[in-house]
Amino acid sequence: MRNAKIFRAFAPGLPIVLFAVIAYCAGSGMSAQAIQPVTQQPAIAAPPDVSTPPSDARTTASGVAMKVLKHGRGAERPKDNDCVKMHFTVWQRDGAMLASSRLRGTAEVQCMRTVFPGVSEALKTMVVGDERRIWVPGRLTFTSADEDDTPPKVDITMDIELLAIIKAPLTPPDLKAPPKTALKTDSGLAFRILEKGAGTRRPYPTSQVKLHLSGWTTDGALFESTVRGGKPAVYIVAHLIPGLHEGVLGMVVGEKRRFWIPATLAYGEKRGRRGVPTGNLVYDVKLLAIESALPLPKSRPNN
Amino acid sequence: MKSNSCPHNRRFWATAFLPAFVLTAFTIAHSQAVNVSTRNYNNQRTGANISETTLSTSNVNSSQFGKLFQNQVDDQVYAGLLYAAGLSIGGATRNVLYVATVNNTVYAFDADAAGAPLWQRNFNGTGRPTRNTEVGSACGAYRDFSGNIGIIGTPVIDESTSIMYFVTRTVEGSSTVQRLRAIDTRTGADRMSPVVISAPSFSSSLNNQRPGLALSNNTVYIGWSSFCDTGSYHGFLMAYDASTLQQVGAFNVTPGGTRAGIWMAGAAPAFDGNGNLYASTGNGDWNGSANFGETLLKLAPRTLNLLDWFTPSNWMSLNNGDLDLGSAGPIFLPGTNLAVIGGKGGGKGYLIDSNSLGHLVSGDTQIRQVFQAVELTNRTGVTYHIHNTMATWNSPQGLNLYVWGENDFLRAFRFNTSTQKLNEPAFAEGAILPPPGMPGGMMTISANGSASGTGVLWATTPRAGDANQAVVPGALYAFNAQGSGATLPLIWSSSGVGDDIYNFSKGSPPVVVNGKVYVASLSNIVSVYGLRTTPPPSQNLALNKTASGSTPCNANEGPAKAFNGSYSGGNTDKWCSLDAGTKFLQVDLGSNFSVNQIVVEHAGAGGESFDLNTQAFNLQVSADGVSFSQVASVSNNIQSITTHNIAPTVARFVRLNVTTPAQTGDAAARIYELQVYGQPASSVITYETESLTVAATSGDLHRVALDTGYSGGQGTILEANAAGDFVTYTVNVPEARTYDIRVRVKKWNNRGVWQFSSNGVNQGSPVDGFSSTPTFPEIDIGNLTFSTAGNKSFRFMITGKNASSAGFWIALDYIRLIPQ
Repeated sequence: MRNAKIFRAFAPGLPIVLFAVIAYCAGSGMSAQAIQPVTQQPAIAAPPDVSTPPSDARTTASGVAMKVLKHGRGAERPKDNDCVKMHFTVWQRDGAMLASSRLRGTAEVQCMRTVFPGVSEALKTMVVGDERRIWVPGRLTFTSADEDDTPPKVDITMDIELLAIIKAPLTPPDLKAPPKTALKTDSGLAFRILEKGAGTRRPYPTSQVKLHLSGWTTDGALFESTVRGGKPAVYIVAHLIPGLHEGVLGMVVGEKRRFWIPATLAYGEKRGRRGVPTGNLVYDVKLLAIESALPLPKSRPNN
Repeated sequence: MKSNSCPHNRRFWATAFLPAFVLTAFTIAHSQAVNVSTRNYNNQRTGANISETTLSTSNVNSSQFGKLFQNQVDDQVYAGLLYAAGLSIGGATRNVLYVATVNNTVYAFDADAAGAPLWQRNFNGTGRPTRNTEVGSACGAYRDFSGNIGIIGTPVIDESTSIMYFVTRTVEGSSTVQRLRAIDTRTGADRMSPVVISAPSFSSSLNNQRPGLALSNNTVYIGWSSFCDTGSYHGFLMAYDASTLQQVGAFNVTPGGTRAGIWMAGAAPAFDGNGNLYASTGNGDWNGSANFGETLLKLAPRTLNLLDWFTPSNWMSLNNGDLDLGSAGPIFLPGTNLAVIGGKGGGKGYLIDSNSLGHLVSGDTQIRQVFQAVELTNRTGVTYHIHNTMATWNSPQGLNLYVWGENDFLRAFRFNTSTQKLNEPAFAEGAILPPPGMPGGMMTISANGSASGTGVLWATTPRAGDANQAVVPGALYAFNAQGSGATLPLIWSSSGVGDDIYNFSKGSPPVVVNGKVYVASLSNIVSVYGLRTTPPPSQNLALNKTASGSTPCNANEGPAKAFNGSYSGGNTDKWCSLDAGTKFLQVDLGSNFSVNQIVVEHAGAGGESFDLNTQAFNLQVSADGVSFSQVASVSNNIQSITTHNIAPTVARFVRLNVTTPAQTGDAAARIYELQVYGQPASSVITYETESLTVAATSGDLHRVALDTGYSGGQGTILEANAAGDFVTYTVNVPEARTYDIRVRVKKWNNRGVWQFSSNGVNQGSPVDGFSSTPTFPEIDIGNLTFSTAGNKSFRFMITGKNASSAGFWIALDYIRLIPQ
């Protein structure tokens, strides 16, 4: 399927017609039993200042206006590589509600590199427990992050309550190049042992290994991490990118290594699809378990 | 489009009290004979075969389970696989696997053993399939397909009539024609004349028949999207009477706008117990009255009148763009009126009461539940789409819904019977995180009812690379669907030797039925897996045979590595050469075989960068190791696995010549596997005359003839009208040896008397084609010795006619060569 999107025009004035339909059908002789009435929660009413930031709102250089609704008690603020758990409600400037996690009843988990730039900017100034109202100009909403066309950019007003910061692993200080103490293999892969493991058993290419891993581009963007979500992943070693494939084969259970992987042993230099990193990469990998090894390649009978 | 201001019209009352529809519709009968007649097993698209009594979590493991065999087809397979149990076909009772390719060919294979197709039929006629370079210009170089675009949507079978319905796509002269076909599942012959698809504003060139076909209420339903949103197209659904192929309904999704294709990643529309159809649309115009982009539609049976709809309001998602609702098809939760859909927007899933879809309400508060189906924390700056459909199973612990979105783990959600919602978050996860990119997992479930330990979730995903706009190597995984604590344990994967699924088919999820697992590919191969005590003999003729080649890069990267059956052994599990100029890799098969398929696994198949895939190469074969003839030449390859179907050629030696080793200028040739397939050279060969090259005719009309009496339902007729009229075919004789020549014909009352000759020499006696009633005898022409293999001319020339005959026609079914 094509990914490029031409988004439908939004119809902000769309009437909510369901109850009118029920009334119409009942009136025309059809039983309303045909329809199970929907228990519809009302939209969350827009605040009086939805259209314009009040005078006590602070406006950043980029144009995001913010007003504190409630002070939190946390100390840390989310950083670029973190994800956050939050409640939010978004309105258009004319007061029409667009979306709200409060109506769903479950807070939303989003990552700082994925949310609108204007929302990310506001979140970075917040601590856990903070509740703010922000006025985000349309140009700081959808970005053209890939070949996809983006929806229309409209100004929004948003209430955010920051509930938790889902911390990214610490960014390695030596992303640009491996330190002199790092070991290098013939392929160009460099690594350093961060934590020692136990035993001598190492995986085969066909082994299933349980890993915690985090990957950064050299400019510090964390593009993948099982640590942030807290759930390790199982990989067939042969299905890992070549740098990790080679690297993991040398590890024992419990060991943690940092790998400096040249682009040729990763996803290459050519820009691919959104989210597939390019260039040299750095990975921190902890081998948690060698879950099983499938039978090694052996000769099979011919026919 | 007819306006419909009431969500239900009077048809609702006519059908609302059909007896116990839900129970029968949601349950595949517990019997020995399980059929797979439609995409995702049933019209609720549960994705579960719950009558699987052989495979379970206790025997699906690497010591008991693996590939049994594979079958060749003529092109890539995007359509889902279908299956008929215990069918009487060709005089025997067999389980039959149906495969449709992008070359407009449909195959019927014995589902339990390797071998030639029971029947096969190509539907190109005088045309050819569309090519990917001819469509999708909005994407520049359009690579959602990579070659032919013929049959794409999964066919559907009416078990009661043994008819299979599907849509072919052919370019005929300057026009593109899409036809709805109805063929017999036992012979491949037409059961009704095909009908050309048409409707006001429908475009046979812009519209892509992507979703699976559906059959309900004796009506065949067909949907269309586009190619990369190119041109002013409209999403479409049409309904055809299954008995007459008359169009009975057509629904244009955007009559006052454009786009809004029905994609659903190849899934088919779902149906409720009243026969109402549910389908989701992609991006396109929307106004809530006539145009319905990004919408779940509910349409009336046959007429396709709009009954109800749901459009999510989350266009202003916190995520960036990219919000197709129609990237996955809807499914029904068994035993409920609840439909579930996923899409591309921020990994959200929607649980909706099918009795009231709820239109569009800010915050989506009118529907039962919006749930976070895909977690966003593993990878950032990526997409979280849900493709194909979700899958559902009534496990011993409760009703589970399985989702495997992009850049995330497989997740299992539990349906809460008290709240009538799904519990959030997922109660268990699979541990496999596929490579960054699309499309997540293509899932299917096998289980024996709700019995503990029987639920297996099978899924294919890419094993390297991103399948968006690309062809990439795939992997098949099996998980314990019941789960163990918070995990869905991985119990098997296709990384073992000989278990390769080849290039991932992004349109065709695995099919599990009667103890076997069937996996389509974009490598012209369908793989069949099942229980085994030891790996069966490999069909790969080159496995562990004597190898030679240009100087290896390293001592442990010699030519033999390309013939060891393994792609997964790491960087040194390949043949690598840095020799100057053309580099060669060769295998000696040990004796002559009739070779018809060669598979090459390049750098990307072994896990290396796709940039290192061989760019230009050719393949040669030889019977003596001295004189080689070229059978394939590729100049611009980008794929990691390439398949080369060749005309059957007798050869003992196969050679690969690498002329441009990589995409990047890198000088090393890297080949992980070179596999050779074919038959023993001395086996019987049958040439369907409708598939042969016609070298010459006397100028009389030579055409395909349709009759269920012909093998595959097709033969050829030369409309000869005088002595001396002839048709000459080119036949590629595989070996220099003596064959008994047999010709099967259709005798009837207007046939002539003909004489067979080969390369100008008459063989056998004249054959009288006359018969007062149609008969299909096989005529023994006699033994013929060929001093060389290769192309020979086989001529059929009229010498006269029987006095009783009304004409001089020649009607042929096939030519058979039996080695003597």
